[in-house]
Order: sequence, then structure tokens, then C-alpha cells
Amino acid sequence: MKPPYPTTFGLFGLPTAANNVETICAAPLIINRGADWFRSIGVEGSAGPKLVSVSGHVGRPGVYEIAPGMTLRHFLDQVCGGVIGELLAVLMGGAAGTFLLPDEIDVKLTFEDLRAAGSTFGSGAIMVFNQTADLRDLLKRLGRFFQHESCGKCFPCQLGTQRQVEILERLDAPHKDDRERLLDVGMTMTEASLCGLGHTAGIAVMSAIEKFPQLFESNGKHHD
Amino acid sequence: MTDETIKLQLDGVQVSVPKGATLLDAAQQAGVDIPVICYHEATSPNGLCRICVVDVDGGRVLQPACVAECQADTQVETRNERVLRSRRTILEMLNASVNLEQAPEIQQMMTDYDADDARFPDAQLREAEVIDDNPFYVRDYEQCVLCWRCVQVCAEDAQFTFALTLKNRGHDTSVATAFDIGMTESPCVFCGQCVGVCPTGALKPKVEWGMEQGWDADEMRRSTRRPRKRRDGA
Ligand code: SF4
Ligand code: SF4
Ligand code: FES
Repeated sequence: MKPPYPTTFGLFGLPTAANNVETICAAPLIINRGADWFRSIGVEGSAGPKLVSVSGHVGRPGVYEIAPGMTLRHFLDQVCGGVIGELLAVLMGGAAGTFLLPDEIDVKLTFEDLRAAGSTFGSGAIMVFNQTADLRDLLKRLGRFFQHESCGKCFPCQLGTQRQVEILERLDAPHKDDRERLLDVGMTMTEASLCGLGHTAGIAVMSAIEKFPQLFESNGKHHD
Repeated sequence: MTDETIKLQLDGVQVSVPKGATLLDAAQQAGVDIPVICYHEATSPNGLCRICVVDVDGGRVLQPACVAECQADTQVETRNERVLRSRRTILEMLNASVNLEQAPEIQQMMTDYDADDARFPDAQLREAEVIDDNPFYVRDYEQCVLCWRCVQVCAEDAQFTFALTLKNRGHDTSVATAFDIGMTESPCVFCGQCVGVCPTGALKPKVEWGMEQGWDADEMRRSTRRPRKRRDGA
């Protein structure tokens, strides 16, 4: 049960740093070369290199180690081989991330700037979509992912990931008020779930509602 | 708990509680009603249903009152917009998955929180066959809200029998015996504690079930004396 979180009450009941491969790999470099060297990469607040995984409509998808501080536009154009076709959206942070629109990609890739833009590094995944991408299909896939991942322990996520995918599956012919249903489900999972999976299971969908409201309109097709 | 007391604001009213008290304890002391579904005095709280969530200092997420401890000098709101939306939506989502006809307390909550009985059209009901595999009680998991109380009283919270567990995950989660064996083959000692703590009609004494089915005296005697095969023939 959380709180407490590992940072205050972890292994043996003591404050505990939970590392991943990325942070573990940084440790020997910091020990050998010193903190100043590490801090010289990136910018104040987002010091040190950051791993990101770029997929989708770019010339050279792959895993990149970047120095935080460059803009997303610079990164996509100069490092990743440019966007193929006309940019539609960038999903920052993976399945639990948020969408950036083409006019929002001048944001700097730092923890602080992304947060200020309502976005996130999240898992480090950066998914790039051009005009040919079917965002409704993407949302359906995200919905299925969270429905499958929910452990079923707490009600908001166990029921919410199910209700969410049911509504997403009918995006092409929605029921009246499905948008409001998704917002209630998303906010309830975000605010009332037990763990981080439920807390983030509705984030990308709610971001899509904000950035691409037309996806949630019926196009004349209706269930009712 | 120690002798130390802490003070906090609950819906604008100051309350003093012993350190270690939960927000639900504080609310009960202050006469503030907070709904609960999974919480039961006799079982270890797991914070499952989240119907008891409250807003502590406008934090990023809401806190489950049945398990969250009171923190000194915090402002707790038990009925603001955020709280009401989560409670209403949890009830509406639950009602769409579970047959709540024989759960009067949850029905009452639906009324109290303005929950729409038909909020989620075309939702998938968690369907299940009634399992009638022993002389003492039947299990109708279509009415199960997954509060885990039965699993807990069967295990460390009371009986130490461990006949019940959970199978599958996500929305497909269900209470079950290990390997889905019949109750009479399981370690179950038919103490009835699970039936006693079930908040819905999911676990029901055989006699009550028989009366609902309109069994005559002969059928009732037969059915409550010797093990029957599972109705689905499995
Ligand atoms: S939020 Fe976490 S605990 Fe709750 S059902 Fe989802 S995965 Fe399980
Ligand atoms: S059968 Fe009853 S007690 Fe057991 S988890 Fe379901 S609702 Fe709770
Ligand atoms: S009553 Fe608190 S989580 Fe269920």
C-alpha cells in the first residue's frame, strides 16, 4: 500500500533509491569522471544524458542518448533524420504519455520544459505520427494495452480500463456523451487508483480529447 | 498507536485524533459519513474499492480514507467535486459489471451519489454461472464486487483454511478455489465466515438460495444434505 513510497520507506523500512538500467549505468561514470563532468552534459535541472526511444514516421527511428536542452524539433529534424511526410502528432512518454501538436514541438527536451508544456519524458518513448496515421486506431490499441495490464486489484483501474476500452473500441460510431464518459473514467482512474498503472491509464486518452477533440465526434455515425 | 495526538481539519472542522488513526477513524469520530465497500472491521484493509477516497490538501491523487493515516495540520475534504466524481463513477462502473440487485448498501450509495444506473451502455457484465457444489452455500460470482473479504476471512484474517483465492486478472478477476476444484474437494471446512462477510448476494446459504428457487421441502432436504454436482456439469 502506498504511501509511503520507497524514497521514504523502502528496503528494511529505510529510504531507498530505486534504480533502472539507465541510472545504474550512470553511477560508475559519475564515480570515475566526477559529478561535474556528469553535470556538464545537459542543462541545470536536467543534468546528465537521457535515453529516449524514437519510433514512427522519422527517417532514423531508434534509441538515442541525448543531452537535454535541445528542442524536440531540432532533435527530430537534425538527429532522427526528419519527419517523414507531414507531422500530425508526437506522443511523448509512451502509452501513459501526452500528445504534442506540430506547433508545440519547439519545446526544449528537459524535465522542466516538458512539464511546463503539460508533457513528459515518461518512459522515454517518443512516437511520431504523420498525416497518414489513424489516431483512433492508436487510442484503441492503448485502451487494449491498459485493459490487459490492469492487475484487477483496485476498482477504479480494474473497471476503468475495461470501460475505457469499450468506449474506445466504438470511437468510429460513438454513443452520445462518450467523451464525458471517457473523462469521468480517466479522471477517476487518475485520482482514485491504487498504483501508478491506474494513475496513468487514462492520461493519453484525456490528452487526445484535449488535442484532437474531433476524434471523439461522431462524423454522423452514431450508436443511438 | 501512541498517546500522541494530531490535529487536522475535516471539512473545515478541527479534529484531534491519536497518531496512527486513519482518515476513516477521524471521520467516524467527527460524525462525518464516508462510504465503504471493501472495508470491514474484521478484515485487514487492502484499499481496493476506493469508494472512501477523500481530498487531502488538494493533493495530486485522492487518498483512501480506510487505510490512509491522518497527517497533522492537513485540510481534508470528504465531499468536494473531485471526491464526488470518483465515487459516482466507481459506482456507475461497478454497476455496469456486476449484478447489484442483492446489495442494498451499494444500491443506497448509488442513490446518495446520484449515480446513473445506465451510465455505461453496452458495457460487458462479468458473467458467471451459479456454482452449487456443496450442501451449505452457493456462489454467484455475477454478484461479486471483488472486495476480497471472503478470501481474507478464509485465510489469515480468521480461519487459516486458504480454500479461496483469486484467478485471472484485470476485469476478468474472479474469486475461485485453487485450480477451480469443487468446494467439497477443497480445504473448505464450511465455517460460513465467507458467507457472513459477503456484502452482496454472491455468497448465499443454501437454504436461502433454495427458497429463492422455490424448492419444496424434499428438494431442500436433499440439496442441503449431500454434495451436488456443479450445475454447469464441469
Ligand atoms: S491501479 Fe494498480 S493496483 Fe489498481 S488495478 Fe491497476 S494495476 Fe492493479
Ligand atoms: S464473493 Fe462476496 S465477499 Fe467474496 S469478494 Fe465477492 S463480494 Fe466480496
Ligand atoms: S473502503 Fe476504502 S478502499 Fe474500499
